[in-house]
Amino acid sequence: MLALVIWRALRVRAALALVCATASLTPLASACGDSYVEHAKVSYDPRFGDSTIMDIYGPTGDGPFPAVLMIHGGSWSGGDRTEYSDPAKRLARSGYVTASIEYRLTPAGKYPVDVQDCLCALAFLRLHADEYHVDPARVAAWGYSAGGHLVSIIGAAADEPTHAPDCPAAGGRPVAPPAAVVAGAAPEDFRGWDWASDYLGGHESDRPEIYVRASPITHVRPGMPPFLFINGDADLIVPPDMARRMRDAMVASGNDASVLVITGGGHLINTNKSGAWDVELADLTPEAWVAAIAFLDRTVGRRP
Amino acid sequence: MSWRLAVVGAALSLLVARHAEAADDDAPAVHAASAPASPIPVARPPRNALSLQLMSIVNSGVNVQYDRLLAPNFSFGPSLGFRRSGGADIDVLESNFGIESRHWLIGREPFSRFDGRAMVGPYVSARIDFGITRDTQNGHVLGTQMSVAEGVALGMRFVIVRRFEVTPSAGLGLRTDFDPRGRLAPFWRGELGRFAVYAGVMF
Repeated sequence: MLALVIWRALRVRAALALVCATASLTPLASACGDSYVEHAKVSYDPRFGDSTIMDIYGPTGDGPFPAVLMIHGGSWSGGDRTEYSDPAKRLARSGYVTASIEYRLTPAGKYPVDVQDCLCALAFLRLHADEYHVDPARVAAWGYSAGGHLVSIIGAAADEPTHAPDCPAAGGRPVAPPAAVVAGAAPEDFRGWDWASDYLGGHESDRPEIYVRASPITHVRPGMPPFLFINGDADLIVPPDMARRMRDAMVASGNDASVLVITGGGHLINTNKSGAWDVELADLTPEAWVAAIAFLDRTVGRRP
Repeated sequence: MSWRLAVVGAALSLLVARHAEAADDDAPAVHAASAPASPIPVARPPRNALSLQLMSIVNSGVNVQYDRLLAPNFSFGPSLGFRRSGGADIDVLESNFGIESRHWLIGREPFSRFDGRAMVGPYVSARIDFGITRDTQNGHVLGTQMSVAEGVALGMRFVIVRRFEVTPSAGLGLRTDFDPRGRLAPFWRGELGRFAVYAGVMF
């Protein structure tokens, strides 16, 4: 009898979710209680104009809510914050304040300039926690590809002296790392990987110390924030072995780290429901969403 | 596991094809009188097709589709699939049910020898898929997500040998994900490129 009641309740909830899924395509979305507030083009460092702005989305209500800093990819030279607009809105409608940011791109934003920008954005979000209803102790970071590298490096090496931002939001103080990191297709180790010479200002043979310092894996030590890595096993640009090695090093140091390997997943091409391939980032596939929200709920918590 | 299923599927396809050819041999030749000079035997157009989505195998899954010709230029059929993913720390199981309708634009293609229109050549299609994705970690269920995906595609079915066919297609669609327990807000994504290759047997 109890099982029957539970089954019926689940069916009703599934039906409601289906209705709301359909409604989300229309202005009826707010009727499903999943509306959000938006603050567009918020500058976190006025010195660099539109290169250092963010779009902030948040749940309705006073919070304080956990937050997620979202950092787009694009080989450190392209892309923009709108890549994460839809995922940021989804998280906002699910109880998280999200900030999808711009950062300086190459050639102006060579390492470590973009790392400083990301830490500045993190400091800004914490500094303005009351204004945006953020719990400053529960700010996670999520990024893909180059953005995956950036969330990894600010998670692993926020206290590296060359990463310290000099922006007003940081106030000359060290910026604490994010409380949790979702790193999608992230280059965790530049050593022996030849896709980032423009970003790192030269080849590894010329600048070996930069390749070491910019590699998140070289900063692994006890006390790091929890990491979730999301990688396609057919990613020809960022091999998933980087994430596995980083995970192994983190776990060996007593940290919380896990890997979701998307079978058959590429860097930009992933499988869809009918088994066909479509153009999609690995961290936005349904399986990645399930793992990511479970990870965020566990580490920074959705409800105060 | 998916490779084993693919081998079993191929064996079944062979059996079906042989059975279908035997049925053709028993049936009177439709064109025997009207085209006695033709050296190439013609076969009755098959009304069914059973295909495997080849890309699903690459993705560690299996997706099988059935086509039934309902009108001279229209076929309709279901598909069923599952896929395993993850495997490092997080395991993923996906299952999928879809329906596709295809409008066969010409009903012919260069390599087939069917008598009249058949489910071959170029087509346009519309399909809808329902899927469930479940992630587990250390035996603990992390969550479930359901998806509804609608799409349109342009494809071409080639008959490569006898009744064996290969059907590549490309299209676009819209995917809506939702959490049956309401944990995550609904999310929709455009699928700007959908690439699929089916291979199977017609009977």
